[in-house]
Amino acid sequence: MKLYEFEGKQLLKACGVPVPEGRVVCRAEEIGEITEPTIVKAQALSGKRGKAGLISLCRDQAETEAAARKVSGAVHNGEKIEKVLLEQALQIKEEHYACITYDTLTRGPLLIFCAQGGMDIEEVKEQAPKKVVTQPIDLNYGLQGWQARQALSKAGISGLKMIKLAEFITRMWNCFQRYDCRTVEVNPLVETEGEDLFACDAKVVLDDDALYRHPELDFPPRSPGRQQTQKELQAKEIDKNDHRGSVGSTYIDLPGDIGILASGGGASIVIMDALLEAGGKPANFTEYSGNPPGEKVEKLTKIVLDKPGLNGCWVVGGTANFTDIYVTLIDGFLKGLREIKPKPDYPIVIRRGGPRDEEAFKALREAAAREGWDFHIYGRDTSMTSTAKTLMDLVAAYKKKKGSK
Amino acid sequence: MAILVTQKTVACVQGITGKEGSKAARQMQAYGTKVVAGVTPGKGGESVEGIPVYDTIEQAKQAHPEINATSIYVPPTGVKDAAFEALAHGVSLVHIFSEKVPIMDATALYHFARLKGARVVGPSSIGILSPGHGKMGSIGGSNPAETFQKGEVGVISKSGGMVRELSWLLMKAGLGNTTAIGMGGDVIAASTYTDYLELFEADPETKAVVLFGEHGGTYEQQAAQMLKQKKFTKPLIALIAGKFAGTLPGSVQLGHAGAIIEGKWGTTESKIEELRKAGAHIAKIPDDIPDLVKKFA
Repeated sequence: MKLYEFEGKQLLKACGVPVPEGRVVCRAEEIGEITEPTIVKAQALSGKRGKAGLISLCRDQAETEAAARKVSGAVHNGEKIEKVLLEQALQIKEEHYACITYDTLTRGPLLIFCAQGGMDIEEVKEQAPKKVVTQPIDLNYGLQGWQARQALSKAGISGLKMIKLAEFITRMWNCFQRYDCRTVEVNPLVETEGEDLFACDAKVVLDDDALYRHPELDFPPRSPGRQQTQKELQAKEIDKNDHRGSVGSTYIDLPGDIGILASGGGASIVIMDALLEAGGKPANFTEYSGNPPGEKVEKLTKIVLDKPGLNGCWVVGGTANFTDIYVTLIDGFLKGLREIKPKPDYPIVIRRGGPRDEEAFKALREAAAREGWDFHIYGRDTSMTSTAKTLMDLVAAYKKKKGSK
Repeated sequence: MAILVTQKTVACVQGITGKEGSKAARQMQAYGTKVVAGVTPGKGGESVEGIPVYDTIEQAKQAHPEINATSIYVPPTGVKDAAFEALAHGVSLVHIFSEKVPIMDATALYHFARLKGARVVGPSSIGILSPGHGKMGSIGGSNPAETFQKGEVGVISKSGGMVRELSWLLMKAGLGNTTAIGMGGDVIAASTYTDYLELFEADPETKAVVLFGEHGGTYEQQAAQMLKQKKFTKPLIALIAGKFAGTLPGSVQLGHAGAIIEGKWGTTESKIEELRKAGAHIAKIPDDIPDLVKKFA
């Protein structure tokens, strides 16, 4: 879970990392009296807020209120700005970059530091890779003071500042560890004219799988980059309080006309690539796996297909190891499909293999004959990705027929 | 020879009294794996499928000193504990089926496994299967013979579904596996492509390896590095999925936990490019794989 800047700063502050004095408002009317220069920062999950004009330095009350009014309700990368952070403006002397995140090379936490902060670290990495220093961290012992000092020294920091920064970074590590974070990034890490250090921005990502051991963290659900749609929120609900299999944990609404019910974390990615290749436009991405019960798949089916403007549906997965195909297709998909109004008359291509697949296909064929579904059923003998083209041919014919009506 | 799971494998199942655990134990036995014990704290003295259940690994090892492998089917909150228990008692192959294991726990158990000189497969691994030898985990379900047959190709996949799908494609083309491995798609995998490639390189029966990868992380790039350094010299056929994911805005996570793109790192295109440059044969779609294997192996 990616946190908003102000949420991340709350966690950093709780671990002793200094952050500028500030408060959060929802509307310009809540601002109250402003007596000193203030930074107005729109709270959004995606980056590049500065470039989008969502962060401004204001000298007085009028400017602050105007800036807050301008950004609240604005849309940034599809996400509506609902909160604005007002912070004391600092006299900035220098800006640095510091981050702790998991590294797949050393398979553990890694400290990344660069004396040159403020800008996008990706750009620094590309333009001046030698300026970026790293230090792997052993989970057993944590980030040692000498490791932090050594990294800072390599980055060209010395004297009292090195000692102060090392302390700062050690506290960032404490935050990373205490809250089971995936990433704690401070950019810029500011040194003021008075030589104090502050985390002027914070990107904190929590490990969703570790949230269970942090009841003290009670952040509302969100999706990085944009506000979640109603369907995305509904899909997330399916897995809540029912840990049998994984259904709809990943659901994304997309602008196309093909409903997708994919199975398997890997196969779902393969088939989306194949659909794009075949010229298809998905209306969503979603995935279920891990032998879920029928009722969970039924719920997901309703979310996927209860959508106007669909011209086809693809129920697709590889050859399952342990997911019961009869349960997921008959007690799940078919049940959900029957509840869609108006009754879908578009082509539905099903490609699946695994336990009880033959039994499931037989029941699907019977249902198609009895209830008039346009099912096209393929087992594991037909290649998974080839059914993308099969589907798109059927969709083209369906659209032509629909257009001539 | 196969790798990891062989005739010498003697297994226990941790979490054997659960739904998936008991099913896996039954399937493993049916496929010829020796499953001599199960462990579920608090359920010692019971039995599942005729397999005795113990409270602790220590008790299981006392009764069956030959145990050298374990399959873990406990809830994610207990995975680290279960894996550490097995590793502390010298179990040399630890397979972790459970999903949604905290990254910090996965990191800790990777480092503990290295300290103990043991091999941990997973978390979120469907299992390991060596035709003619046996299997650990749920890989292949109750009828592995439908989609896996003995042969000369190793398969390593982040995805459990794809390991079966790809092995099935090989089988349809008259090819087969030495060993097929679901390595799991988490951010921190306790063993990655390079670990398995090293084992396949040393295995005289393996003539080629098929690798299924995804966007996110750097494990595929590390495999490419290994090829470049000639530490893996057999034909490697790679299928890297996730082009679609790259078309989405922001760092959206699709499919597996580790499948997240941040910046230019971890894109499908960059992985394909590095593997291709290192000499791997790139399959565009799964169906390309058998022909590539036949052509180069």
